Amino acid sequence: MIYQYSWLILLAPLLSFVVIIFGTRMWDLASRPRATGASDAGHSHGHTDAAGHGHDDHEAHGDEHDSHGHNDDDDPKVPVLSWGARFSAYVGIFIMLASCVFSWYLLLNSVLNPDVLTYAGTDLTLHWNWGNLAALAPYAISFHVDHLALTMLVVVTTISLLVQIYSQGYMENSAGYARFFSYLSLFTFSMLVIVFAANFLVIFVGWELVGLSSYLLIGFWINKRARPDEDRPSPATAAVQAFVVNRIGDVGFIIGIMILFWKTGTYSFAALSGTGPQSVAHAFAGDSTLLTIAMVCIFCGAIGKSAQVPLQIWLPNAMEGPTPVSALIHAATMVAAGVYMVARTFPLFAASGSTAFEVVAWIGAITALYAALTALTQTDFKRVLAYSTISQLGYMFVGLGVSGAVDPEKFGAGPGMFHLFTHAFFKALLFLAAGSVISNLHHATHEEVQDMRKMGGLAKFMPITAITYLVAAFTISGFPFLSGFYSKDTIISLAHTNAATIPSFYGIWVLTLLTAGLTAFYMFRAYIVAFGGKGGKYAGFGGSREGEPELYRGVGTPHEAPWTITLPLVLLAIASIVAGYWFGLFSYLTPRAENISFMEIVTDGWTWLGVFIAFAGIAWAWNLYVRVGWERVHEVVENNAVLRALHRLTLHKFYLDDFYYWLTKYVFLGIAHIAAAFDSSIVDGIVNGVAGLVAGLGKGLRRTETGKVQSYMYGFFGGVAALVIIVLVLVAFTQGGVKNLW
Amino acid sequence: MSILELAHPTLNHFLVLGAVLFCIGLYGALAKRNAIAILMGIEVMLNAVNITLVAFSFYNTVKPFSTYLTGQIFAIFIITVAAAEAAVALAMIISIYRKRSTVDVGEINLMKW
Amino acid sequence: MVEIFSNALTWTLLLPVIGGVIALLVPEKVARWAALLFTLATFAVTIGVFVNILATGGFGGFGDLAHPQFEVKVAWIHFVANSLQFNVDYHLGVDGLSMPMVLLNALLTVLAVIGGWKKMRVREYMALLLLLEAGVMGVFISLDLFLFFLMWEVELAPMFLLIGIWGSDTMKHGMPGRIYSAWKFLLYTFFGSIFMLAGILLLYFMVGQQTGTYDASIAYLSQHLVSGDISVLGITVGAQLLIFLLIFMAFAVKIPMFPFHTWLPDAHTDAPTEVSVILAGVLLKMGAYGLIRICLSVAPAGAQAFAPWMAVIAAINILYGAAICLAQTDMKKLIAYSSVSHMGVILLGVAAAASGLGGPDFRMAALTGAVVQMFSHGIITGMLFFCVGVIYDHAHTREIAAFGGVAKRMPLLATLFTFAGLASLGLPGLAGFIAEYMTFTSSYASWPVVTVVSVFTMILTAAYLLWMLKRVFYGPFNPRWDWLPDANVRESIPLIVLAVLIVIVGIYPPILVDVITPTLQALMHGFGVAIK
Repeated sequence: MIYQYSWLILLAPLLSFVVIIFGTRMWDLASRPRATGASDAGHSHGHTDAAGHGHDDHEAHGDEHDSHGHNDDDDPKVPVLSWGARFSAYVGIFIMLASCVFSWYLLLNSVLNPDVLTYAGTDLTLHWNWGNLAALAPYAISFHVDHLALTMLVVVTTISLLVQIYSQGYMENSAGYARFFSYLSLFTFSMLVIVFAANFLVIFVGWELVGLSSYLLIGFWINKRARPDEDRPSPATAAVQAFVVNRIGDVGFIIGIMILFWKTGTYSFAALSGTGPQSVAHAFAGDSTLLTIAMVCIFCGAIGKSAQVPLQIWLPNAMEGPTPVSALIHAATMVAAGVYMVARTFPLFAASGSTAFEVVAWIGAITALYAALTALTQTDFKRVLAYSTISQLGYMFVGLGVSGAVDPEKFGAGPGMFHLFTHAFFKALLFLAAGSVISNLHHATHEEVQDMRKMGGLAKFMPITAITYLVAAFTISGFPFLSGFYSKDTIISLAHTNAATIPSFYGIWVLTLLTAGLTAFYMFRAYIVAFGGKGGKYAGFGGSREGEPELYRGVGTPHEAPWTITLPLVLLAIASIVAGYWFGLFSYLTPRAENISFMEIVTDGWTWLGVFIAFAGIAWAWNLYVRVGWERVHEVVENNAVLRALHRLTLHKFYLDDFYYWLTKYVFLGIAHIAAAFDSSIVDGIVNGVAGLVAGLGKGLRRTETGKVQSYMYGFFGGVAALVIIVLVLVAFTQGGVKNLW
Repeated sequence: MSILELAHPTLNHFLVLGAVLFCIGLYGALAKRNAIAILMGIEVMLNAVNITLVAFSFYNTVKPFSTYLTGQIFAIFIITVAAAEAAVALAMIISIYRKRSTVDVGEINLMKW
Repeated sequence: MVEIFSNALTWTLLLPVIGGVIALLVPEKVARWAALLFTLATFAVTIGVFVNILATGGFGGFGDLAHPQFEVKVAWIHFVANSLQFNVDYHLGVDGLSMPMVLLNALLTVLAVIGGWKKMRVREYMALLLLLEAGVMGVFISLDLFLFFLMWEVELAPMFLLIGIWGSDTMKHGMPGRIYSAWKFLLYTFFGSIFMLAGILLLYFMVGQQTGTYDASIAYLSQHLVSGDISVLGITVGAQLLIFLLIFMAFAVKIPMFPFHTWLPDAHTDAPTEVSVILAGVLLKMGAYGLIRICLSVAPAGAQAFAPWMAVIAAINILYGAAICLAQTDMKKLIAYSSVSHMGVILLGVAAAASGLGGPDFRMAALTGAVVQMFSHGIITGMLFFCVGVIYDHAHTREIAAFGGVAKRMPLLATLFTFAGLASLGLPGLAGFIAEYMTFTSSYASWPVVTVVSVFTMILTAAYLLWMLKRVFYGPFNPRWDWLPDANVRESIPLIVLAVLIVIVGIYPPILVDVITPTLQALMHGFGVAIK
């Protein structure tokens, strides 16, 4: 069966990683001119014999970058891209294209011919155990493909392919061109490990590996500086933060895995969710509390990976990586892995009752609102999108939670996965469009401009970027008949429907509705401030009018991006519109699940309430930024104490980041320093103290060694005398009196 | 105590003599500051022991004849060793005197800690 | 005599000794190559042993304590006094537990010779390295308790000199650090050894009196377990518990177990790079090996009685070691403390295996994880120390704060260092993950609370390693290091060899796991029989 060979897709990106790292990247490095002047003769084994990760040589820069020598290290460039570097991209893209085609074939085949792959899916022929011993049987590396995996698979391969094509244009003459493509391949491989995982062990492996790829890609510009003025950390810092914060969630994840493993003795999803002796239903019979605890622990992993409250801090900082990375990893795929994992373990959550699902839903809803509120005031073009991602991921968890808490069989993981599916396209589009803006402004200004206050009216210079961004903005706002409309509305209305059973879901419903309005507002705020503005064409949505003052607030003249960048944008814009029309998704994922119906959605009054709120958001954004104008809004906010305080609050992310910073710096590092001091002064102090005591004793006794003959004689004869007396006394006691001695 | 008794001394007489001589020698060795005087004290002590040994040997009537002379042979050994010791000690004292112009043991503490 | 010298294991002891003597006698230029030749020869012999066993018996053919491979047993000291007998045999052999350690020792010594190519007084250095190899090898292949003890002590002398002569001159407690640390290492180990000798003698004579046969063979002692109680200063304790504690004392110092660990950071920071590699790579494993080989075999009831405490101490080792790492300013000291943390994982696995709680499969997996950790920690920490050595040799400092962004100048080293760091923090696909995942998930069945607490080390490990790498290699470039050269070919060889090994074990662990599990299975079986 062809599905059993889908490990070809899994290993394909690994192959391109290996080929690029050990092949084309070596070629790239070998074909570079030796660094001249930078190294003196004494260090003959210079810097150019580099391999693998790490580094881009400090070499002569292209002409167009000579003007900004101060940030040479930020983004090292080579004058001409070598063929080795170019082939790195070709290798990656070619292999990814093949994988993408194969995975779309697999998906369509199984959608059109329902018999070809059952709901149970099939194991892949690639598997091995950690050991032969029967006791180690659970430690198996094995992979599995089913409908859920296929859905995720096409998302991952498609976005990966488009991002790789896009990156050719975005990375230009970067010195780390080949390295970048190898990391992208490594990421895709890691993500596919999660997608194909057949047990908790493998999903945990993939979980950590995507963490690694994320770490490497966020820290791609290894020597780039922090920008404290814009509240931006250095990529190196952001990378470490991302990894460590993810690890916090992973601890919960592994504790959950341990509890399940202890009770059932297996990691396999199939065995756990089945009905046999190793299933959770059997092993946890009568102990659903423990199972709930286990599932909430497992959900912690998703909280970390999907940047939900309270572990959301790493994702905005992860924006320090190159923008294609933000699109691929930190928007479309990796951060959605948490959602995928919950969907994957959906039967286990279901077996634990509704509490775990309620936790999932509430965390999602709170995150959605928190991130949307924070996004309102951010001025960094990418950070708005980062918070938007966090917010949308919250929606997905709401979808999973509200669907599972009441009747897990009815919709299954469908609502959450549906939003994941549509969100992947429009959020990738938003990021890639943002990347296009940043890249083109970099050409125009020779600086990295991410602050949208330095943009404005860009629609005039880069119409394709602007239009595609606008499409995505409408989609994410839930504009009727675009993909986001269907997926988001399904979640909101499901929260409302299921609130009839669990009243607390009314709260979630209100939160999600509120978030929908906020989403529309901040997306259009970003769009108008960057691409349009007060006095622009098409009611402020376009660039400046003929003869009117220029809306663009930066320097230089931006241009539209090359086709490698605009092609993915256009393709994604189309996908963003049509992705919502896969109405059969729910029943494709879950047997006997109800599908959403077009008629139900459009005839339901609550749907239009959501749309109305979204329109209100858009209208308010238009009102503030087109009618009133950016500067005036700023003035009003600054002059009103209440508004100013609120503005500060959301601008500083409700001071959560500062709180974590304080916690790390003073509490955790403080404990570490106390432990270190304890170790060196108490534990080692005792050791040295004992040693010192012995040494001191020796020093003291040494004093008796006067060197004078007579003092020795006193000692000697005194000792003899003492011994005699002792003997006498002892004998006296044992023999009954001194007189008996004689 | 009659003179007759002195003419026929017993073992105890010799032991007392040995003890007295030993104490005199000990006093000399401990109290004198002159290294040569100390040496003399040590010689006196050694000879006190010799007297005791010979006396025991002489008055022994229990052991068989072959062991009669053990104490006396020991005494000869001690005399020999004492001579050697005296030679070495005097040589050391002279050597020290040449270096430090003193034979006062209070000032000789070369082997101090 | 013939059977002694026809045994391959004898040659793993003799070749390094002969090589050491030769290296000392020949001129410097030849000495290096002689040392390399003899370490390679030793390595070849161990590989030969490995392949031979594999060819004849497959992965299950490594036998166990009662059926070791390449066994040789020749009477050495046989002394009879009335009813007491003192018998010591020249008794060598390998099984699945010792084989990985033997290979690791042989490999790391080869790499250490390559790494120490440019040392001062290279003849003496190489000679001592080779003697060290022989001593450590002896520990892993001795099957007689007294021979084991002898080898345990033999290893101290070269180590003492290696730290004391080639160590760092930073002042510590009023003397050069190398002197301080060498003495601390020596005295601390002796301190433990005294207890071990007492324990061995007690065990030997108790079993001898109980069975009438005086035999110090570990296999014999593990089949004729001591029973009854012993009165110590009027307090009655189980004989096995007392023997366990006495013998374990030496291993606790060596592992090192909290609170006997403070010699380790000092020894590591002051030892030369290659010696640190050997120290972390195999010397610490001697403790863990002894714990599993001897303590679990000859005193299972004692091990079980002590298991709860061992689990608690393991958690302290794991978390306390990791927390201290966060506060370190010296790269080498950081890695030394990370060893304390990682060796705690072995303790946790052993504590779970000895607990008698949870299912037998979980305990088996926990012990397997612990043994895999022994091997993987050896290669990973060895690699980390080599990396620090390279950067120290070029920059002459190990202060983390002194660096910044030097990946720009040392791309290859940055890559390999990051790789080693990721392996150390337990990244899947690399060796460390296998061990930690196995140990943690299966220890939960025995010690749930301790394991849950210990798992938090995942955060700390990631934090201190990545933070250290970030401060040294990434972020804004410190122009002070503009002249810094990258790792050269000689320096890269050990790093790349270890990196390849880490990947192989990490991706396809059966290659290691299947070697050790038959032995451990027999051990756990005996354990189960012994303590019911």
